[in-house]
Amino acid sequence: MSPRVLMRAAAWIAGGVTALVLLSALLGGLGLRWDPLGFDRRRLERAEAGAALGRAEADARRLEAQGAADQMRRLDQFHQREATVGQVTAAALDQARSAADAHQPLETDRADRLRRHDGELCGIAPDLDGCAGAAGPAGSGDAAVRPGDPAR
Amino acid sequence: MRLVLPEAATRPCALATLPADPAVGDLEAAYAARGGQIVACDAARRLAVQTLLAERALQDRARGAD
Repeated sequence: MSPRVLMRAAAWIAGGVTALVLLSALLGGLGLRWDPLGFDRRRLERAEAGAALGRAEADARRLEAQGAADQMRRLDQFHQREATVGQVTAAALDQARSAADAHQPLETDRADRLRRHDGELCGIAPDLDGCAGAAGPAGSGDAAVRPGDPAR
Repeated sequence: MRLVLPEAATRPCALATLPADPAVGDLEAAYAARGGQIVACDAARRLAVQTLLAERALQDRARGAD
């Protein structure tokens, strides 16, 4: 095969490729796509799935942040109430112990009745703080002995 | 999605009891202490319930967002 024939064949091939590129660009410009294996569709589906996952994770983070903030607000309210109750109760205890008759012994019958009732309550709920069976967190079931303290 | 249950909500309630050989002041003190204990315990109960309900609401909303 002569070099002249080879050059002519190369020119035809280059012309054909150029024509294909131009035709593809023209059809692409008109909105026509040739994607027989669906690569573009799959790429689009992957991108949409990724975006949906990102949105779901962002929503979850936002809900968590909102839930944590609400919980902090509830805890603040609880601590405020707990502190206020402690203050007013401490004042009432001081007054009770400094009353003129604070050290007057209770009548034996009354003291026995009240202490019997205390014992019944502690028998029903021995893990209450103040009863002999008081333990750690509620429902733990441990039986660490803790003496009763009427001031608590 | 879980909220942390505050330690305060896990504590048992307190019950003031009379000491041996109680005096009038002990009775009055126990009466006052029990009142405070009821209010404090109710606040802890309320906190526990609110935490549970808030956690359920968050889980429902998270499921709705899926």
